[in-house]
Amino acid sequence: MLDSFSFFNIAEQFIIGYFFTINTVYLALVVGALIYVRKQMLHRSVVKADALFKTELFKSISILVPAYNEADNIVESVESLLKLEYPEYHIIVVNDGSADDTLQRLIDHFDLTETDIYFEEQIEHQQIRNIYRSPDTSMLTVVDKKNGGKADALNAGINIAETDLVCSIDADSILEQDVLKKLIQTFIEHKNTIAAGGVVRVINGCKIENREIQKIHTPKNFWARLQSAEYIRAFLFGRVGWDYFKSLLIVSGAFGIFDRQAVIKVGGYLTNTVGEDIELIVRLHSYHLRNNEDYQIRFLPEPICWTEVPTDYKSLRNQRNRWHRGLADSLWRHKYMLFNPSYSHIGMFVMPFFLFFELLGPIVNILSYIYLIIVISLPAYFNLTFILLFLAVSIIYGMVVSLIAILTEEIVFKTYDSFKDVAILSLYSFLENLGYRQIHAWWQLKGLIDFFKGKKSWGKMTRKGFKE
Amino acid sequence: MNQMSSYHNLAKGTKSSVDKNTGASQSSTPKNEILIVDDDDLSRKLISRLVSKEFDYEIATKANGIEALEYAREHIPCLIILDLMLPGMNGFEILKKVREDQIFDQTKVVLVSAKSRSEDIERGFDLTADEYITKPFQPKEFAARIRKLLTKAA
Amino acid sequence: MFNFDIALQSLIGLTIFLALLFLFLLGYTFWTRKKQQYWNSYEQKFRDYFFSLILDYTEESDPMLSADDIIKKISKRSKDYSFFIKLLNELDDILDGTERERLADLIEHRVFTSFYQKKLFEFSTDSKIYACVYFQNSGNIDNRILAKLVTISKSNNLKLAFAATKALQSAEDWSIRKKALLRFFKRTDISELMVAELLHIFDTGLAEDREQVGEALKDLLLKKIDPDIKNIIVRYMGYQQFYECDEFLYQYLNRVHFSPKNFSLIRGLITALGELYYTEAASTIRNYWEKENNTPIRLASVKTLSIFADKENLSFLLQHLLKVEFPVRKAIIYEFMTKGEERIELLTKFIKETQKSLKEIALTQKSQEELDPRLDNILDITSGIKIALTHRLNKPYA
Repeated sequence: MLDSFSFFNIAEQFIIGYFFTINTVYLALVVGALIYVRKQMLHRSVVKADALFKTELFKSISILVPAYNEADNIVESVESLLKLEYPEYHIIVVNDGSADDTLQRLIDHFDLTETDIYFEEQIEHQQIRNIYRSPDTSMLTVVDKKNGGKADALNAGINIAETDLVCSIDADSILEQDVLKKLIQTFIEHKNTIAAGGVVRVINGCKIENREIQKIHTPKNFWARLQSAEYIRAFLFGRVGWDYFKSLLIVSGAFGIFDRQAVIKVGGYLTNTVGEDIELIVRLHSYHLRNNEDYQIRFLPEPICWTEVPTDYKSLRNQRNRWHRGLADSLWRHKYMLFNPSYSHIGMFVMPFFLFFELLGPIVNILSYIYLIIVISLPAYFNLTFILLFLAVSIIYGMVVSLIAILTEEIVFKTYDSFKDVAILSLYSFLENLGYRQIHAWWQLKGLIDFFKGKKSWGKMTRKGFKE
Repeated sequence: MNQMSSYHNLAKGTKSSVDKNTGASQSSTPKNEILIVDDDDLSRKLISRLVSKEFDYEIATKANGIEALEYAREHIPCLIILDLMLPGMNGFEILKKVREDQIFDQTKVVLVSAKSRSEDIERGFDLTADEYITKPFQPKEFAARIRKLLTKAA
Repeated sequence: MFNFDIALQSLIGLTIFLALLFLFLLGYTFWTRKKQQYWNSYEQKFRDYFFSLILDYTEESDPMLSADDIIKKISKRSKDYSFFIKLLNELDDILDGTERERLADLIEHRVFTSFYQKKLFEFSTDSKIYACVYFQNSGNIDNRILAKLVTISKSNNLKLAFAATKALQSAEDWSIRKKALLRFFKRTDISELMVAELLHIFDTGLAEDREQVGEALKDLLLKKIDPDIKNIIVRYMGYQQFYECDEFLYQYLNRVHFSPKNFSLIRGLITALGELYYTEAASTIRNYWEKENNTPIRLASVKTLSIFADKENLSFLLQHLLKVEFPVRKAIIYEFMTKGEERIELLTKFIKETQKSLKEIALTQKSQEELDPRLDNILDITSGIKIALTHRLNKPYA
C-alpha cells in the first residue's frame, strides 16, 4: 500500500509539474512575443527600404503554387497573386497531375500557349509534360507534370525558377497584397537570411470581394472558430518566441519564402514525407550548422497569409494526424542532431524540446487524463487536492495563456474588425482548453502511433495528392 | 435607385442602336467625364484636384480595378487616368480590356505608376496607352500632358 | 503530498485572475476600438483639411498664405505633428519640381525640427528612430543634431544605426555623409540589401553631384570592408552607369586577390565593367575564366563578353560552349540566340562544324566512351537552341 501510494505521489507531482512548466513556458513566450512584436512594429519604418527598389540590387522572387485538383479556385488564386506589390516577381503554377480541369481552366483564362524552358534538373521530380506561358501575362508560367505530391511539385518549381528567392504557398492561401514587400524586410534586417515565414490566419468567415479581403471576421463554423483562437496562440509562442532565440523550426507550408540556391544546395523538398515543410527547415539548419555557414531562418511577426481551415471533425482530425506524423518523421530523420553539440542550440535545446514537449507531449497529456479519470472514479484513490490542482494548472492556467495570447493579438495587430469578433474569440479560447486540446492530444497520439506503424509503407504516401 | 438603373439601360439601348445604324467607326460619343483610378487615397485626391482645377470635366474616382472597369463601361469616360498597381485588376489588364472594347473607341488612357522601369513603360505603350506618367510628377507637366490629350480628342 | 488549502487557493486565485483578465480584455478591446475609431475619423478630417491647405501653399495659388500660417493651425499635440509630417511625406512621394521644394519649406519648418530634435535626445529607442526617420526626409540638420546622429549611428542596435546612417545622408557636408557610410559598411552584421538601400540614398542622382559620388564610391572600395559589400558597391556603379570610374574598376579587377573570399567581388566587377562597356577588360576576364571554374563568375563573364561583342570574345564563348556546366551553357546559348541574326548564324555554324569533326573522330577511332558525353552535350545544346529560338519568335518571352 505504501509503495503504490508513493507511486501515485510521484505521478501526481510529475503531472502537476509538467502542466505547470509547459504553461509557464508558453506564458513567458507569449509575453515575450508581445514585447518583441510591438517593438518590431514600431521600428518597421526603418527597414521599409524604398530606395532599394529603385536600384537593380533587390532580390527577385518566384511564387510557387502547387495545384492538385484546384479547378474551383485556381484562376481566382492566380489572379490575386498577380496583384501583389513588388517590382519584379514571377508566378509558377505547378499542376501536379490534377484529375480535374485545373490546367484547362488556366489555359482558357490566361490564353496560355505551350512553350518550353531550357533548364537543368538540379533537384529530382516527376516528369514534366508541358510548360505554358501567356503572351499577355509574362510573369506567369504554368507547369503541367505527373502527380508526385506537393513536395515534388515544389521541387519542379524550384528548378524552373530563375530568381533569387522562391516563395512556396498553398493554392488556396490568400496573401496580403504587400506580403512580399513586408517579407523582404526580414532579408534586409537579417544578414544571410535563407528562409522566412510569417503569421498565418484563418480566412473562413472573412468577407472577400473582388479578390480582396474586405472584412475580417471570425468564422461561423464551430471547428473553424476553435482554430482561429488556436492559430493566434500557436503563432505567437510557437513562432515568434522561437524566432527570438533564432531557433525557428517550423515555417508553415501555407506560406514560406526561401533562398533558392540554399534549397537547391540541400536537395530541395523531400517527397516521401508528410511533413515536407518542417523537414526542409530542419535540413537547412542541419546543413548550415554542419558546414559552419552563416545563415538565419527568421519569422516576420505580421499577418501575411490567410488560409482556409477544415470545418468538419473528420478532416480536422486527419490534418492534425498528418501534421504530427510529419513532425515525428522530421525528428526521426534528423535524430542524429539530438544532443549533438556540433548542431549548437538547435541540437542541444530546440530539437530535444520538440521531441519531449511537442512530439511526446500528447502521451503525457493523455496519460494524465487517464490518471485523472482513475482518481475521480475510484473511491479508493479519490484525491480532491490533486483534482483541484490539476484543474488549476492544466485547464485554468491554459485558459489564462490563451486569453493573454488574444489580448496580445488585440494590442499589437487589431486584426479583427469588430468587438464582437474578439468576444467570440475569447469565449472560444475557453472552449479550446475545455475539450478541444484534449481531443487534439488524442489525434496527435494517434498520429504518433500511425507513424510508428506506417514507417515501412512510406511509398504509399507519395502517390497521394497533397490535399486531404 | 430605380431611376438610375433604368437610365443606364436606356443609355445602353440607344448606344447599341447607334452601332447598328452607323457602323463601328462611329460608336458611342464619350461624355465629358474623366475617370481616375488609383488605390492610394492621396494620389487619387491629388490628381482629381489637379484635373478639376484645370479642366471643366466631370470627375469620377475609383480605388478598385474591377469596380473601375464596371463604372467605365456604364459611363464611357473620355479619359481614364489609370494607376498600374491596383487591387482587383491591375492597370495593364484594364487598359487591355478597354482597348478590346468598341465602346471605348474615343477614350484616352493615361497610365500613372510609381515605377519608372523602362520595360513597364514599353509594355504600357505596347498596349497602346496614350500617355505614361511616372510618380513623382510635376503638377504643371501633368496638367499639360492631359491637356494635350484632351485637345487632340476634341 | 500537496496541501489541500494551497490547491484550493491556487484554483480560486487563478479563476479570479482569469475572470479579471477576461473583463479587462473585453474592456480594453471595447475602449481601444472606440478610441481608434475616434482617431481614424479625426485623422481623416485632419488630412482633408490640411491637404487643400498644403496644396494651396505649394501651388502658390494664395500668395498671402505662408508656411507659418499653416503650421499655426496645427495644435501642439504630438499626434497632430505626426499626422502632419506623414501627410507631407506622402505628398513628397507624389509631387516633384517646384511644388516639392515648397513642401520642403513645411517639412523643414523650425517647429518640427525642434520637436524632433527633442525626440532625438530622448532615451527611448522608439523616439530616436522616429526622429531619424524625420531627419532623413528633411534637410535641415544643424551641428548639434549632426553630432547626435553620428553618435547614434555607432549604436550596437543595428536598426537604430541604420536609421541614423540614413538620416546622416541628408547632411550637407559630403565628408560627413561619406564617413557615415564607411562606418556603417565596416560593421559585420549588415545585410547586402541595406548596402544597396544606403547607396541609393547616398547617390542624390543629381548631375552636379555625380563626380563627388563616384569619387566617394571609389574611395570606399579602397577601404577595408567586406568584399561582399564591395560587390554591391561595384555593381551599383555599373548599373547606375558611372562611366567615369571604368578605368578604376578595371585596375581594381586586375589587382584584387584571386581567392574564394573575393569571388563575389570579382563577379561584381566583371558585371560592372560590362555595364560600363569597358572593352579593354576583355582579356583579363578571359584569363579569369581559365583560372578557376566558378559558375557565378563565369555567368557574369558570359554577359559581359557578350556585351563587348567583338569577334574574339564571341568565338571565345563558343569555344567553351561544349565544356562548361549547364547554367553557363544556357547563358551562352541565350546570348547568341536573342541578340541578332548574326550571332545565330555564328552559333549554328559552330554546331555544324563540331558535328562534322565529331563524325570524323568517330570514323577514325571508335572509342564510344569518349564520344558519348560529347554527343550528349551537342544534343543538349541543340535542344537549348531550339527552345531559345521559340522564345525569340514569341516576343513576350524574350
